[in-house]
Amino acid sequence: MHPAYQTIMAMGKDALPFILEDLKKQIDHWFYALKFIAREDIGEGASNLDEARQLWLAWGRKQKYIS
Amino acid sequence: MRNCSWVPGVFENLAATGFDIVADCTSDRTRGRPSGYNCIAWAAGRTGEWWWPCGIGGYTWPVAEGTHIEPPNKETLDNFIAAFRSIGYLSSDNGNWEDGFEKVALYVNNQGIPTHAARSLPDGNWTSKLGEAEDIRHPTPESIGGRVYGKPVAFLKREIPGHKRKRYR
Repeated sequence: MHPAYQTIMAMGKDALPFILEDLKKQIDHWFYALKFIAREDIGEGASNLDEARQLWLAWGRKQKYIS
Repeated sequence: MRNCSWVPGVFENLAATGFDIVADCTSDRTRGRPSGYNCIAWAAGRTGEWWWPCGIGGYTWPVAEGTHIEPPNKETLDNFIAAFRSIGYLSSDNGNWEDGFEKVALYVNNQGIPTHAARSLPDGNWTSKLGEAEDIRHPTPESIGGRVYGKPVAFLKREIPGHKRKRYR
């Protein structure tokens, strides 16, 4: 795993707004970090990456990490 | 078509064997559009999924009852072989062209961890998706091997549905 990715994961919940804002703009492979930080897989059951992205963004809005 | 001069710089064996671009990069990060598939899904013939055994929502990993000998979220060669077995592939001794069959080559790095898969084409060439970038055609499984993907260590094959085999007299 890339050291920068590990650093972001180590930030814990403080990193969630940044990750989710980035996820709003583009799909990237943030799902591992999100699952690690949130301690649950909000995208579980999604059939593709875009569906997982939408589930995480909806969760982020509900939790008020993003608007 | 994009400038793909970067490809032989990263995949050092392609410079000697040659390659063609089959399709442009399917991802467009400037517009937030991801690649719809990765190399493993491409080898499996799926272009709407991202195949990787990570156990995270959004990623696909086929599980067929009785075919997995490892937990399905482990990056092992056996797990990758099982994934292709679940869609009808059987083990093959080599990557040699066989009329009526398509083959898949599985690659591992020097730690034995799977890195890539390539699929044979009816004309005897092979096709690979390079990460999130281009789909290419290359002449042999070995031509995409090297420092990034390691080497092909396992081959599988399945019959091409509806294929009429050539008759030799």
